[in-house]
Amino acid sequence: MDKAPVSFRINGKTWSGSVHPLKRLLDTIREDVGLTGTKEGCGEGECGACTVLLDGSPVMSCLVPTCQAEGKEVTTIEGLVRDGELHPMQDCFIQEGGAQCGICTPGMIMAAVAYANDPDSAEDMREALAGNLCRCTGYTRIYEAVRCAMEKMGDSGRSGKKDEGSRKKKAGAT
Amino acid sequence: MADHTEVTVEGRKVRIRSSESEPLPPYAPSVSVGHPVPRVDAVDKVTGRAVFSTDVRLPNMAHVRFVRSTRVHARVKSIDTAALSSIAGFLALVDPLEMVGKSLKDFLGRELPILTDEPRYFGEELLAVCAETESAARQAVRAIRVEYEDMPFTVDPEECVKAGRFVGGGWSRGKPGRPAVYERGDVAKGFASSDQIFERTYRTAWNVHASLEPHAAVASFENDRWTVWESTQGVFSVRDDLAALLAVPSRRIRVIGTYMGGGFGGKSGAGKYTFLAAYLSKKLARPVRAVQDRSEEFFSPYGRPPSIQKLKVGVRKDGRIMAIEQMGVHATGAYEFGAEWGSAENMLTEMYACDHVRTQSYAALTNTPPSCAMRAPGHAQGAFALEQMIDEIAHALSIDPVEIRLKNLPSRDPESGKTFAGPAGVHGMAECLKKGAELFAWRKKTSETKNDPATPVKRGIGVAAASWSAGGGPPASATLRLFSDGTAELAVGAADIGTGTRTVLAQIAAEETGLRVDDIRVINADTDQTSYTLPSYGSLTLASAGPAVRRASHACRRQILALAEDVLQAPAKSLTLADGKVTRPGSKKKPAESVAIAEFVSLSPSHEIFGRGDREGNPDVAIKAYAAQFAAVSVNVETGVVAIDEWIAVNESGRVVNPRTFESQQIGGVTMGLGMALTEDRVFDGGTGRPLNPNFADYKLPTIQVQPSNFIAVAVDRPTDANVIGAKGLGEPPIIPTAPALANAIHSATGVRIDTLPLSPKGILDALNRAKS
Amino acid sequence: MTYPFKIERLASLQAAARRIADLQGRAAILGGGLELLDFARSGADQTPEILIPIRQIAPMSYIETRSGEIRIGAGTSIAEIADSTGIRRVAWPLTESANAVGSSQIRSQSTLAGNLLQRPRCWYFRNGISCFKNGGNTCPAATGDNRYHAIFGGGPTYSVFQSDPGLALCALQATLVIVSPDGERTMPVTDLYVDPKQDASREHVLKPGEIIREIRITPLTDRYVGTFMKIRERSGFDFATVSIALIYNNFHGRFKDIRVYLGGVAPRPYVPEKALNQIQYKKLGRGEIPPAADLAAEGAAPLEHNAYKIPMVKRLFREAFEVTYEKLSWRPD
Repeated sequence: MDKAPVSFRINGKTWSGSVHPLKRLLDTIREDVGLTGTKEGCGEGECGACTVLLDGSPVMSCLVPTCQAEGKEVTTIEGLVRDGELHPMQDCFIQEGGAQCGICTPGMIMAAVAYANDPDSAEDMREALAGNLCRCTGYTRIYEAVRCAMEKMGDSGRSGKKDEGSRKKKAGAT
Repeated sequence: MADHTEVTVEGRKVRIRSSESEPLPPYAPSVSVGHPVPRVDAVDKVTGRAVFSTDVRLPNMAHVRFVRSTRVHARVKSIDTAALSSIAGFLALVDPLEMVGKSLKDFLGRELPILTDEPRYFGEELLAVCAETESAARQAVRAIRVEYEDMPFTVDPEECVKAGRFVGGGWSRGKPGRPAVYERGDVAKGFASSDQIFERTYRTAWNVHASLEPHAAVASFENDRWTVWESTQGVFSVRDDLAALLAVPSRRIRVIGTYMGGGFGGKSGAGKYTFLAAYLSKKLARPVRAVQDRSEEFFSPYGRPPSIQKLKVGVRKDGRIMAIEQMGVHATGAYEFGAEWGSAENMLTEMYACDHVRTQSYAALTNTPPSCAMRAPGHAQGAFALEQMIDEIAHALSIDPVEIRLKNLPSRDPESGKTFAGPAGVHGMAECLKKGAELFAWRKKTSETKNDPATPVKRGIGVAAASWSAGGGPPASATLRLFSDGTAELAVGAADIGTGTRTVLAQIAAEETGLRVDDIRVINADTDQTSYTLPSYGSLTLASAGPAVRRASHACRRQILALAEDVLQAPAKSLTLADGKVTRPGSKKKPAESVAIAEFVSLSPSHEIFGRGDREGNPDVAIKAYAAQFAAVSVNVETGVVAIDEWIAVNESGRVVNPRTFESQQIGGVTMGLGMALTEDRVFDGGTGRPLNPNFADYKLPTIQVQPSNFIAVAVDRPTDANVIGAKGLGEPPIIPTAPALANAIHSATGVRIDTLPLSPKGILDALNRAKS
Repeated sequence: MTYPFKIERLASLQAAARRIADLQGRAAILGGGLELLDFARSGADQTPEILIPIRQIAPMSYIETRSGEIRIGAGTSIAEIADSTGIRRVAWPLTESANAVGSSQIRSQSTLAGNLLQRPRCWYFRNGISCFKNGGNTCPAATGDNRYHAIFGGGPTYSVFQSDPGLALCALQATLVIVSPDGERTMPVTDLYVDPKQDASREHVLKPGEIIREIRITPLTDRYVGTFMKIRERSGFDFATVSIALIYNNFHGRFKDIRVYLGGVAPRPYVPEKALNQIQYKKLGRGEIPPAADLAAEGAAPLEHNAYKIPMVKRLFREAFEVTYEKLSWRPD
């Protein structure tokens, strides 16, 4: 088990440590950085509970070798609160009842934030959140929460929109 | 309420008087109860601050993992552990010898060994290893070599029954080699008086709870006491299970389960991992963490067993059900442990008025993990058969499917003969059916749903209904402490498994005391800080804990009012308690006056107002919750793909304490039902006996895209008189009618009855193909 | 989590190719790392001892137009492909296929080459049950639960081709640039996948030390129509039960240059020859589509549990033609 030095920014702060380069980013975040808001639901990239942002893109941190975060910016659920203020997505999840047991919530919110920041990144919101499983809510309140947050965030809250307008309707029989 | 209960004490039958409960004033909540209050724990959940059992990290914590059988049925010949010594961080190995006599027990006392050297299903726990890190524990597991002598196996329940390897399903231990039988009336007579008899065999698939947080426990042993963080629906059952397994008094164990990531029936007591964590934490004198991988969730004794149900129903021409006969087989798993959880017959015996009913339940001893309660155990399976059969009968007799259900509603509980809990008058299921039919425009859609033969996409509509015993009851208790600053602590034993228990209980306390919900801190699911309550299962939590909370709060209210009468110089009944204040209304002589509740707490002799409430007994009636669901679908008969165009779910569960959490329970339940209906199918391979899809790629839970485009969930808000808050349970009812409603809609679209779950493209295309040939 | 890996950092792709060739299967490149971490946890496949991170060696993530071709770095993420305006303009079936991959997270994390070379989703193989693909000498799916397996071209193994972008690249007649220990060569993507009858143990023809560096596509002109479509068992995040990539053009009023590949039904991208021949060169007309679709599953040899894929294949073939037909700039009806 050869550990190696690794350094990345997490929630705006630089973190440096020594971990095996292939340690799952999820484990590095939870065990070494010490932030347990990011959850493990399956460890196989199939449930989305461990979603974090890597340079702004949503990734399943259970399938990211830590060495691939080198020099990058990682954002976890703990990084959404700014100066004690909740992110609009968090506010809306509270207001709309988007969380039930709460275990999928951090990953769901991170995927939703990624989509709200870049609505062109997926065909629609459901498509953007299809990789995040929730066993409690039946998704309706999550859908409403994300919609509420996107309204609140407006264009000003998002990073630059893509040059293109809405993307073409995706083909697919289902 | 029944005045006496007969019990056996030291072999002697005695009658004990039921405890007296103080009558409370009629309940007419307005301030907090009935409002969509946001969840009290929402901030913790959306910030990642909520600490789940899987998040608990203690200094010097070790990690336990299981060596699981890689054979389906075998005897362990030898175990080679030589390589363990070279693994850095390896701490301990536990083998079956060390665990002799240690087992989990089901409701009927049937056992499941903690470790075994004769595994009966793939993945059964053979050994446990403990190491400094999780990684080292995994390495240790891989380093152990086990040699097996294979034995014959089968994962096919029908084969087992043929070979005589079964026990009776149901709620009592039957005779060996005999099915559990329920009988009322005389089915032969019932069929003789029928005009038409319908028969069909239905099959439901294997499901798994798939809580997003796996089973997990962290145990620490300090000062001769265990503290265990467990992802559980019932901290007290975990404590009692552990006390028995460790052979120590309950006072030496504290179980904390404040935040837990989903249960659905699968986390009702201690698991093997719980015991090993506790056992090793003492043995190694350091905290021990045991968390299952996702794949292990599929190898462990959890899930809804599959069923095969042969159903025969006799009816008169007018649609009256005359006789019901059923033979049900379910794969209970390799041990008798949990054999009660797959029986589908209760649905048939309780739903409709019918004098002649006979059911037989076979729990097949398949070489698969033992089964367990999963949301609406038995009912979800039984409804798939019964509610399709009713639909089939309605079509055959040209009776509207809603009408035929209304026609067969029982006026008394068909099983016990008891009257139903009030209010007297309309039947809850009738209200659900009527309200749903109206919202869905059932009649209009019935006449208008036509299909163009030229297009492969066919539209159809379907309905199904459900009932579920949901009265709750004792034991449940609660305590409320009001502090002199006007804040309070509500302590209840119940777990909040995501349903919103903490929130609705805070609302009940707020309503009664006049405190603001925000000023009430809820402490729950902690055996040291709260009093005993049953696990949060069986749709009983709100109806059990809610009345206890009202009683605890009422005790506080009386103390506040006693002081307020003196301070405000007005009779108690004229005072209102709301928004953290007691208010005397204004009159011609005196303007209105308010005094903060904090003030009264300061004035109280103990400088704290304290109330305790115990759940009163239930009246001697049947207390049921009801559901009806209406579906409109489009089925592509060439691809087998089903699109859900519209879904309406109506539930009658008594009073709606929080419309938001109520609706969430409905939608969540229907969605889990859609998973069961459309895609969820835990596959055990006939040839190898191995689970083929122990992961979320191949065991397909509904995603956000499965959600119907037009999905309405509504409540029939009709407080029951069966308890002092008027609420009944809502956990299970929403999942029960979903699969049959969908199957009925698919039949309406395609003309083909699909009697086997899941209703996947394959299932639908195969059925259409069979119907053609 | 155990990590039986060592990381080696090398200076060039060529050096990486040589090192991997020397170590004969005990080394691999590290791209997105998805399959690696998935298998490392399940233990269902042999994991390499040495990994060579490739993204740091050379720019691997790019989409550019050069020499009249679209050139995509092998390490480009599926999300970047889905987002590329250039690809959408002249190779839209690839865009559509990229959108159909996994979830938004998977699309961000997975590389194009990794997607092309992903191992089969067969549930016997993925659960470590002995089979041709993990050192055994049987295919348990042949007689087992084969509901998700091949109806065409199976034997001795029956796992199915699952790469959505791979199918689109076949229809686009893409070329792969491959670095090998002895230099660089190109190869049509349609030659990448191996017939299980030739080698049942693996799915592609690359030898240890051969690394896909780039994927090149000739842009489609506006005479072409095309699409990628996919039937999944579950809405959202699911592998294809049946998928199709289709491209053709209007050549003097006729169906011409048809390239049609089916996924999810055969060990390799499958060409429904009979149906293709039926419609190729026929005068453009809606009426030509159903007779061809009826032949789309000709030659199918379903196993015990997967005959249901036959009507799906026909329907999807028909829908793909009908959808694209609507997009032709000229059509007689």
